Amino acid sequence: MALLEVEALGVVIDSPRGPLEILRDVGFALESGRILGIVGESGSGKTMTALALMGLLPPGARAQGSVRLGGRELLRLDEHALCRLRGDRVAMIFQEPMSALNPLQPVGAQIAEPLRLHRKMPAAKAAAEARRLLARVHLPDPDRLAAAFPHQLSGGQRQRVMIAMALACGPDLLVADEPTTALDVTVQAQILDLLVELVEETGMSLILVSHDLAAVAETADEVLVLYGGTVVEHAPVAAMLRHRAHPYTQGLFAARPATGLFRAIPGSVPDLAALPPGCRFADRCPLAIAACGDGPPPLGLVGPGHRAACIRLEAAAATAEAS
Amino acid sequence: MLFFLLKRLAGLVATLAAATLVVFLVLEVLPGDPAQVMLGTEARPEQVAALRHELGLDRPAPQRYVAWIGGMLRGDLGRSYTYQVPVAELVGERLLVTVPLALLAMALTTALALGLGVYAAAHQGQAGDLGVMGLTQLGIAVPNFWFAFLLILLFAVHLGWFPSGGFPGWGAGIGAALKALLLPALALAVVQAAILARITRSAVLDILGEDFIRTARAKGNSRARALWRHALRNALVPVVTIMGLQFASLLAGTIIVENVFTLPGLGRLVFQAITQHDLIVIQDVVVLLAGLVILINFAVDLLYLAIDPRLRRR
Repeated sequence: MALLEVEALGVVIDSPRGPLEILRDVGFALESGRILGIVGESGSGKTMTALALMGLLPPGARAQGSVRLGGRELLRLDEHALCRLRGDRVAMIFQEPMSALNPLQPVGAQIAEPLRLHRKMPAAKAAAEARRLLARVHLPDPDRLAAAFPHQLSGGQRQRVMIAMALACGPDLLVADEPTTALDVTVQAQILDLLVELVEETGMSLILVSHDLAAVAETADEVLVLYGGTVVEHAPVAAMLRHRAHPYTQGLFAARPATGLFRAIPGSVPDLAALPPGCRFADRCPLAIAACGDGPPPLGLVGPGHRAACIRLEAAAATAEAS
Repeated sequence: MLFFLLKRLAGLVATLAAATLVVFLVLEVLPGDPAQVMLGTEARPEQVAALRHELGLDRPAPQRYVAWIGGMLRGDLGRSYTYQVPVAELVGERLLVTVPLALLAMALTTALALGLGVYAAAHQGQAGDLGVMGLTQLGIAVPNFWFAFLLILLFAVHLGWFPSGGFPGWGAGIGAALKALLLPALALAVVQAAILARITRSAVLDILGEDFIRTARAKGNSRARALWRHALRNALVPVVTIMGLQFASLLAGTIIVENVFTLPGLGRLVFQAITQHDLIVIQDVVVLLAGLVILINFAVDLLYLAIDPRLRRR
């Protein structure tokens, strides 16, 4: 049994014009010690997926489907049980490490808080543990740093503090929502290296949410590509690097500056209030045909563990071959 | 941080000096001879001249200003013309009523406002929130003297729990003195608490939308615990700012409320001094009130430092 099993996960937001299905039918499984990259543009539903896993959806949004952690259904847990789970078995780090830390508390106290909450650790012991965690995320001079306030640290240091905080109780699953986006390029690599190192050391699973394909390709074991709140492709990283099956993924790779030729995908992400009934990428897809608008395309098997949601996979394979 | 404090301390002294100058100049340029005003239109010229000499009004203005300031620094506030006692003595006993009254009112304001404001923020959009918002709307709309009469009617006349006015003095015991101050303090506090509760609510709601609250929740804090442990202190900066401003209007409010409850405080003294044209008392008390307000602002600055470590490095 995989550590995390997500099936038909959806998120619905109530709006004046009726419920909006901003996330639809997301499914994946994640083994212990593995890293899943979730990739997509802004508005693709990556962050909603992460928040739904944590049970931290914004007011007015509700999750459907099934999220099982170690066999336990999370979507049916009450708030009290979720509070005991969050920060203990599942932890999360966020994009903006400056605003994600409480500006009025020394970082040591913030790292110690999950230990005080979940382990009922006495203050002195939790403080000592916080200093040990600071050393573990390779921050120099933990004794001095524990007493520092967030504004006294650099962006990279703050993100390390966030990671130390997330690690405090030794979670089974760490959800990292764009953990490097707000950081300098050189620091980004260091933070990703640290995350990989910690996964290898602790055996926890990591979900790395990012719009940075290169970062995910270097870090993750498998990749989930989201578009307009749906899964368009799901594959092991190696397979994805060899062959992108979905036209959107192909466009995403072509849009990478690293490929030398920068080709933007024409159009923009669909308006969540006016989602098409069929493939949500159809209006931007170079290969779209009338049938694409008929209904949601099923996730078809492309290779071992490699699936893509497109009814034009053969045409897509041909264009990929040609380019 | 030391620099910050020194800067604020220098500002405090400068503001106080400016306040004395303004008070002095206003009374200086005001039409009418103070001695004539005090004695009334029926006074004979030689009486007026004698009083002018007694008050030192026949000396040049700069000299009188220096003498006034010098006297204040030595603790000599001059002599009240109507009471014929040193103003320092007069003001001293009044301060023992007004300052505790203002502090009690501020404590009630803070307790009511923080309680209601945080409660409303925690239940945003729900019945409790709407109830609190309606109540505060009412509190802001009702003038405090009218509320004072309502309080007297209910708690003093009908229920008889509290005296309807007067002050037994601190010699009568702390309990009796506080009992006499409670209704006036409540009358003062209601309007301020209503305003502050709204400020608190919106400050807390602002903070609850911050990223670090989501972090706190991701760590396993319940909604309520995240509010108390992470949101409240962050929301305090705007709340404390308003509290500082409110203390000033509270002191001004004592003038009315002390008259309604016949409390022998500074506000009542000012009121009487104004009706009796006792200019020396007015001058001194206004500067004293200004000094109190300036001191409160300094205390607010210190509170900022205590609340927010980011300000301490400046």
